[in-house]
Amino acid sequence: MTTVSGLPTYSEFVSNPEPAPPRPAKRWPFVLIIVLGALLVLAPVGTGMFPRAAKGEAMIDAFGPYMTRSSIDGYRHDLQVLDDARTNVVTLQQRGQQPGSYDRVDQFARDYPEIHYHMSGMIGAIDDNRNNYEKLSGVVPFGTLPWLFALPGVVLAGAGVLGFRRAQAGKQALAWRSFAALAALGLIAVPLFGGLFPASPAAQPLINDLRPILTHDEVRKLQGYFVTLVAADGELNSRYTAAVRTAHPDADLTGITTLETRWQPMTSRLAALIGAMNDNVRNFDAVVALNDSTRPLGFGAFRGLGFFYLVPGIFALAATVEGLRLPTRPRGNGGTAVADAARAPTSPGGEQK
Amino acid sequence: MSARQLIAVTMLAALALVVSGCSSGDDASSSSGPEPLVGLLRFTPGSVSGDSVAGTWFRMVQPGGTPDKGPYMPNGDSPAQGGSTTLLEPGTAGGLRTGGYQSEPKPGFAQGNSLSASITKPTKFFAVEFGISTNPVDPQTQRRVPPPTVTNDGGKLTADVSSWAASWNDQEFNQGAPKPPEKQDAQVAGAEQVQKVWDWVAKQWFDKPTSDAAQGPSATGSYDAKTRKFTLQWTSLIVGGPFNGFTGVWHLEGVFEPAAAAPNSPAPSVK
Repeated sequence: MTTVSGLPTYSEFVSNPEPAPPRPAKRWPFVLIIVLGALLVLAPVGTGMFPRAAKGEAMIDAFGPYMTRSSIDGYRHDLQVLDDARTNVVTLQQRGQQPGSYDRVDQFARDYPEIHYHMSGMIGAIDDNRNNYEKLSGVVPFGTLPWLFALPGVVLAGAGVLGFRRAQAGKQALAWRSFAALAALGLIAVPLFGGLFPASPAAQPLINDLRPILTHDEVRKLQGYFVTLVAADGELNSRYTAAVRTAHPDADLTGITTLETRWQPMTSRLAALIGAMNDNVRNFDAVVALNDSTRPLGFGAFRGLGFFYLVPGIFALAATVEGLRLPTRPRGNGGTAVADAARAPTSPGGEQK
Repeated sequence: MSARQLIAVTMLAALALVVSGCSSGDDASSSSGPEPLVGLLRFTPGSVSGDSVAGTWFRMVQPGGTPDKGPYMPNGDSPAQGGSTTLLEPGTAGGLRTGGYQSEPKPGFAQGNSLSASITKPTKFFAVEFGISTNPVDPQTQRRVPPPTVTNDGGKLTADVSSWAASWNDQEFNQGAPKPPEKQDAQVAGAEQVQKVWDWVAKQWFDKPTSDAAQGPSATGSYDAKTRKFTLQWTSLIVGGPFNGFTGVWHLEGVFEPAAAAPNSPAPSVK
């Protein structure tokens, strides 16, 4: 047999096959993971969720003391005490037992029905929403919600990019899939264990009912009521009661004296409520703006809040599982691509096509 | 030049130097410039005579009103000017210390009545006593504020009383001048720590003012160096809380007693 110097023999050629170039693993799941991760990072930034959620958390904390059964009962009792004091004054006036003129007491007697009506409505609105408030306050702290989007989003985006590169090299990228899966499970866990689904229906009625109350105009109106009440109490305390007692020792002053004995805690509670309302107008506006950020989609953000975590989480989890099977091995007995190639027809010149 | 002439010229030159030295000393004493008044501003108690008030007093202007014409919040417990003015009496320290704090005791209230009794005697305001304190961190705004300082410049006083804090019915109200910024909004989780780091870096590297810096007009007044009598007054808008938008009008009057800077420790609780 003649040999050509420098060229491999046929036996050498078939016994030292070149490894087949790796077949790329599926890359589209990683593209999906990257897209989901980017959306999860960009959505809270684009909707201003970070500061708005922090303000929402501050508002929920600030209103905690005023959303209890005992607190609301206390305010209703305070209104009843004022009601009784006003009735007492009107009775004295009607019986001619009010000596002299008392402008501030007269203003209280004149304005109190409106004050009572207005404040009763406000306290009623608060009472009606106690359950809604409790559901919302049972949610994971509002300030953390945007982070629970952004942090899994960063993990997904990073794992997606690195996994994509591994997939290009024909690898399974199991480590990056695992990271992405953990982030996806976290996203699924947030609404399920964070109480978002029970809270979702509670947010909208709470917002609707508090919207007319938590405004600067409303606070200014309450401040005006406060001035009327404290001015009247000052006059009752400093001049009125003594004058009536002097002129009519047998006059009934029960309503007024009850007001005097309960005045300090009453004014403290009322001042605290007005202060909390005033200090949370901006926080409430931020919560409303956050809820309205998804209005173009046809629903309030709080209604869809749980799904905003759950849906991307499920998609991301599915994407991490997809393509986990090993790349399909080439067909053929020898099991090598080269063997297949060797069986391929050759050109007359001996070159493979 | 002869020796006699030389001696004469030298003496004249020496005399000129002495005279010029004396005259420069006189200039310095006549325009010594602003001087801090460190010590106690001992208050004269508020008093009323007919429709006029004297001494130390306070008014509260309702939103939309003016410090001169009101409408004022009528204090039913005050006999002065139909309740529009509340007269104040000196507290346990006798008045306001400069160069140090007279902090709010802890607890600060008993049944809504303020226990801050060092600067002024707790005074009834709608049947509940209010008190005054000065604190390193303002109780309402939670901002760092400097201790009160008063500067006399030829009989005109300028004062930083940004730490002046009123407490009433379990509520805190900054009533300082200049005003510290209002209480900071809710912060994004983690942002405060980043801000602190940035503030530290900014102060260290760029010498920037802190965000707590008070703004607006200072308190002003008059001072008689001979009698040491002073007046000090200012207005301060309430920002936040139940009296948001109301304005406090403060008038302090009394005699200045120089002393070392007051200690910064909180005032002992009273009652």
